[in-house]
Amino acid sequence: METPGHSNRRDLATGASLFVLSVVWVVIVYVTVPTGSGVGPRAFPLVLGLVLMALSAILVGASLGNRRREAEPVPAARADANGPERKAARTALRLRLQVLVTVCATIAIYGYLMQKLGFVVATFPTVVTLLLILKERRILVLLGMGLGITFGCWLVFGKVLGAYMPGGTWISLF
Amino acid sequence: MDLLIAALQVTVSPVTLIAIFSGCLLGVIFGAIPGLTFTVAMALVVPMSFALDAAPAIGLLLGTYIGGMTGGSVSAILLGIPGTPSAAATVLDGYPLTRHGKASLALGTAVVASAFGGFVSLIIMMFSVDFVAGLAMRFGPAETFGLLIFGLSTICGLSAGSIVKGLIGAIIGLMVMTIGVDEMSGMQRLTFGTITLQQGINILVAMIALFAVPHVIDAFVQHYRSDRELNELADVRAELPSIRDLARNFWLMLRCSLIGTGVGAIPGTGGPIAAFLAYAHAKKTSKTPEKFGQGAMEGVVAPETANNAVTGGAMIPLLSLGIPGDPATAILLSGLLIHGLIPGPMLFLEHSLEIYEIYLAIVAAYAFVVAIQLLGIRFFVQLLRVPAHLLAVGIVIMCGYGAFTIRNSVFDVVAAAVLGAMAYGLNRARIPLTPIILGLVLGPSIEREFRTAMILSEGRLDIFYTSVPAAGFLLVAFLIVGIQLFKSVRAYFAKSSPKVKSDASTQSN
Repeated sequence: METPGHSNRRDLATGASLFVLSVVWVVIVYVTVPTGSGVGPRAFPLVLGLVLMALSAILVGASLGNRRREAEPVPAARADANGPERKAARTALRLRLQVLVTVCATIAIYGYLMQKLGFVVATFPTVVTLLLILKERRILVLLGMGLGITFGCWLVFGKVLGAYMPGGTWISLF
Repeated sequence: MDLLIAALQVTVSPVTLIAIFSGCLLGVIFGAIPGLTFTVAMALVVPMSFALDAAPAIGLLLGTYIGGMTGGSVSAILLGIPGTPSAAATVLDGYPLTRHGKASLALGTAVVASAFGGFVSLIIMMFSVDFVAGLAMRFGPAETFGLLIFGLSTICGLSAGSIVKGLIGAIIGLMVMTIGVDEMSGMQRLTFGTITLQQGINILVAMIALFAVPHVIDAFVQHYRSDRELNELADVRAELPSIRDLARNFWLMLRCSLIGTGVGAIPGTGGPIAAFLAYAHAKKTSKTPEKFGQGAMEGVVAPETANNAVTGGAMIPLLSLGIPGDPATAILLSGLLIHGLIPGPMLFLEHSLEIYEIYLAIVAAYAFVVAIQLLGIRFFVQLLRVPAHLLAVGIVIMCGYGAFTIRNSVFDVVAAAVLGAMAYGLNRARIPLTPIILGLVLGPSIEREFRTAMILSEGRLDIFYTSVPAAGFLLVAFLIVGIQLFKSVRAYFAKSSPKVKSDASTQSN
């Protein structure tokens, strides 16, 4: 279950990250986007950046205020740093980050493979690799899902709905 | 009449019917499986609709929307887990009915109630949408800007847990849509000199990133932590309620249809609120309120009628004003836009044939949904046994394929992956996704209308407060946000005062 302390830390980190992001955004917009005439192209992104800056400052301020009010005893927090709860939280965070990187990298690599090898050749190995990463070792599931998803999508999207199926610049099977 | 016949000819063409049926099937499947929302299905389906003509493409999206809204009741009744948030109220009496051995009747009743709610809301929509669009015909850029800000603020105010986070979400959505070539001046904004960014972030790529990628990450994390137990499900079928049962619940269904349509027409509310309001209404007006929660059939009829009536209600501001009320209608809006149908008052003048096609597609979708649920319930029961991570593998493929086919570009796939990672981060930070998606969809229109109004007024802001509708919309928008902010500030200080007092008393002692 989420504690108020955890929620405050999360809000503080979110607010601080968004504040930095909005400062970077405002600087880039101010430097690179010309003003134009009247309400020009710079106005909207600049105002939006400033509003995000203000809102993230409010989030940081509110979470700092909550933190002070709850008055977490600092020594206890430090002693708790290696406690089982913190360890579990760190493990969970590491797992989430690993999965996030795996999923996003798989999608990006799959896109590249689709362009070079075409939909059919790229999809089967992507499905099987993902299943292996998910610790699936049953041959029937690996082959069944790999072939099923590949040819199911090819049939439904490519043939029935007539959607475009990437052919591949290196290999073009279909 | 000629238009209706022409629209009927298009709607009953094999391609359109197959598209509507496919959408319904996909929607019911995604709606029925807990964790897989039909919004994910809609985000994945939009790129596929690219290759189709307008009628089958809209049919595919409407079918997915309606199928998803109805499908949520399957797992709510059989497992006690709502497939969609809109089906949460159905669990209260649907699951007790399953435990009493009445699962088949509960499923059949839910299907009939859903279709009833959908049809009634469609009729209300057909009559009211013209009227609202007629009013909106008088709007200029200042009024439209006010209306769009009103829509966005309602969603931030009503849908988010924290108003500050809701506003942050909307601002992020609006910011993302400013990337690319500015459509009014032709100047580049935040493109860093790259050609790929000149077209900006594609709205469909953003939809895939926001809805599908975080879902896949969650499913995989859940799998690594502990495998989901396979659900124990009895063999069931859908059993239609008797005419007598339907007649007994007729007035309740009609009242709940009105509740659902009314709630659906208010942006930022949606199915869950309508379903719980209808459930509370049914309990309040029942002669046997003590049976609610124990397995009362009215407890299934009321929420299922209302949450499906939301579909027609939500279409009123969408079609007449171009304001989507929730993520699903926002995706529907983007689907309409890519086929050249710009919702708003002009849609009724320029695309009246397509309007009739939309009405007929909704009718066909409900007919298909009833058939699919009644005949295919055993298939859905089997689907509920498939582990979530295996389904997520299929979604990864659809994410990549969907993003790629939008512009045949690897850049879009990479953008979907990067934005997906960001969306997951925002999700973890409890920044609500609904305002982000609304910011993405409404962002370009808000900027365009504001700048056009400023050109018309030669740079004076009085154009926004001398027009009564514009000033009215903006005033209500500021009131909504202001009231929510005031409540948050009051809650913040109220939380601190008892502790401060107790600290003070401790010190004085």
